[in-house]
Amino acid sequence: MSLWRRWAVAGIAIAFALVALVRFSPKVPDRYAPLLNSAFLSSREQRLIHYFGECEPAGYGYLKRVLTAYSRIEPSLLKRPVIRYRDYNRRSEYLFEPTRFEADPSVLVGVWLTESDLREQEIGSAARGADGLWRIAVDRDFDLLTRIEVESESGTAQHLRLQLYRSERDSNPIWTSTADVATVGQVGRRTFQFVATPPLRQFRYGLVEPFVLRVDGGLSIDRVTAYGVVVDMQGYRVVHREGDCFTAVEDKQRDRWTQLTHELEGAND
Amino acid sequence: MIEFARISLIASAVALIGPLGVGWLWATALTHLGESHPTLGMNYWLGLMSVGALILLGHGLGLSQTLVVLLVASASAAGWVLRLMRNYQQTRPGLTTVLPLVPLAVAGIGYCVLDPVQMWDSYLIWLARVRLLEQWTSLSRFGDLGIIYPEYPYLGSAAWWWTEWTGRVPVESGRVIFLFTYLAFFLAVLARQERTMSIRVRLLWVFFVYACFSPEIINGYQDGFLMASAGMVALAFLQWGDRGAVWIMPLAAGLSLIKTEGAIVSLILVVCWFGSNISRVATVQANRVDRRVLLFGTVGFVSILAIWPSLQLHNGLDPANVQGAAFRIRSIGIVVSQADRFPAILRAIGLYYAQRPWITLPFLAAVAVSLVPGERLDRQRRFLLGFVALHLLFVMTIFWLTQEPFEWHLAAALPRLLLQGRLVMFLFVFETAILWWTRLEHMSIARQPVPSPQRFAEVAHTGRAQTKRTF
Repeated sequence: MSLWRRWAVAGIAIAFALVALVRFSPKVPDRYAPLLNSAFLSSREQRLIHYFGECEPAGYGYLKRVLTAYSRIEPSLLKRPVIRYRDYNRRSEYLFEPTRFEADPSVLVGVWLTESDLREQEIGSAARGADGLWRIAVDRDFDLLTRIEVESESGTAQHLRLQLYRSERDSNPIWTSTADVATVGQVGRRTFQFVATPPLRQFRYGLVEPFVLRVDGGLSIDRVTAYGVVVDMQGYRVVHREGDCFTAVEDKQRDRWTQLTHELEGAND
Repeated sequence: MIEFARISLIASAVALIGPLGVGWLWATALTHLGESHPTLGMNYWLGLMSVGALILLGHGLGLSQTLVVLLVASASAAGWVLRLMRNYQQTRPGLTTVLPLVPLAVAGIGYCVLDPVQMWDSYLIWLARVRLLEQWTSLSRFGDLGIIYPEYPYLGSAAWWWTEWTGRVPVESGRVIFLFTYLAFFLAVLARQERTMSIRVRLLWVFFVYACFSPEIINGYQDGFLMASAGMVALAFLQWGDRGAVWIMPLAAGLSLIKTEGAIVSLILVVCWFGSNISRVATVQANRVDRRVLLFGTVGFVSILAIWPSLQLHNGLDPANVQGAAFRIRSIGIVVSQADRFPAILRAIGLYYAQRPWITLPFLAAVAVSLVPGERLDRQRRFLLGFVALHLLFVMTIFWLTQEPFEWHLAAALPRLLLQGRLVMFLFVFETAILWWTRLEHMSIARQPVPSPQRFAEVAHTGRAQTKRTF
């Protein structure tokens, strides 16, 4: 082998070794720190609780307790309560054995949900695009869109029209509302409320693209803000709470789930 | 600790025994056809694909779980019986080959057993299918149960379920099959070069075993499995060549049962293999055996490709809904309006490879030394290079046509899609390195480098090395 080839081979080998060293440096991610704990190695249940939590982030411990009580009352092996999170559907039911695919709306389990997630709150502010449309990017699911707030400078327009599109690709608005600008009677910056009556239900599940607002009327718009409810609890009553996790049952089926409530309360004692 | 060791052992044993048994059936069949034996690594993959395909087919056709389990168990048992009755002259990996893989294997098994499947859609798509197979829920109900992308095929999940179910181990442990497939690929690559003793080639091989690895391969997502399977099909073409087409082509089409885009990946593999030697067309046309091999191979290829759409139709799913919201047949109609996406796609691909110099640099170096004036690309490398180019084009086309939000889809899916071609890139590097580093006497005459007509004369006709014949 010629000298230059030897040098080339040595150079390539050193380069590979360096890259390998950097890539495989022995830094153990935090996720695997408990591996040193023998209890963690010997119990799958502990591992699931470690990764998915008692209540947050995925509520494995709490869900397991609810499901144990639930399965004593509900004979079907395929049914489970509706499970709701503050951000998106984590499908934690796949963790359970047997897996229950059929959601039973008469029981709702909230995981890592605070009181504010059950009330109207700001969903997001819109950003104005070059095409004059307003887009609101939301990275989580929510049940209800209750209102849109528009702030504008004063102008001469009589009406302000708002059109809401579920996504960029939709050609037809899912909601149109008009505000009578002339009756507001304010000078300077003004705020208009476009209230959806009734609220727009099941507004956003699993969509990743922004929803789009068109505001017409000749006014200079400063800010557009959407308000909604992450988890709509209308028709449900919370019967058990543990930190940021809770169980709620449908009002009309409360009697059926009395035993569930007792069992969960008993588990707390 | 004991529980961890017990699950690891059972899951590993079950993941090896079932597929290897079916793999021995393949070995017997290939021997019967007069072909060379598959290597142990190839054997494993052939068996695993067959196990997954049998379960998917049986489940999709509505057969009972007991019948499907009996079929798979019988096939595996028959394979093992044949293996024990016959004395195969098969290449087995030596201790020095296996030892460097042990740390990766142990860490990988540990990961599969200890780390539950993450609550991300990308993994849950496949976990959901394993769970549905546990209950043997009919494919026709997939659409009603709110699972993610009910239209996706699930060969990998079927093999995963088999491992979990037969071993009676927690569901996450079944993912060891994906680790074993990855390792089997590298064992098969080295076994093909059994006469190569070059220490540099061995070091390169070990480097790439670790460098190409990613948790994406074993965390339950299927692109890693598709990557290893595409590599195996490429390897099968390299090993068995044109005459193997009669069974490699249908096998390649099996990629479509792992993921939807596997259909295109398999098509690229087949097109690149036959396109890598256009001059053979006339020979094939003139030769009856070659013609038949190609004909039966094509029929098998199309038949296997048709399995998943047929099962979808049979179970009331819509085969035209190819890839959720990302791609529908009608997406083709809007190609021109989305052409402005190309710069962003190219930037993202460039960034992806810039962040992975351990594959990019060796690959570019291999391309450079293969394409220098005077070098002649042999068929094997033309095939591999063609695949890499067309696969890249395919990935670009996906993002060109996608109906998902473009930036989001590009960021979420590009790394996984590019992963699918990684092992073929490695194969190209490895084949080039073999040619450069291996002494000529350790190679077959057909694989020797032919840098120039003069050199070819020395290699092929030693006694006429000084002739001025031109080619």
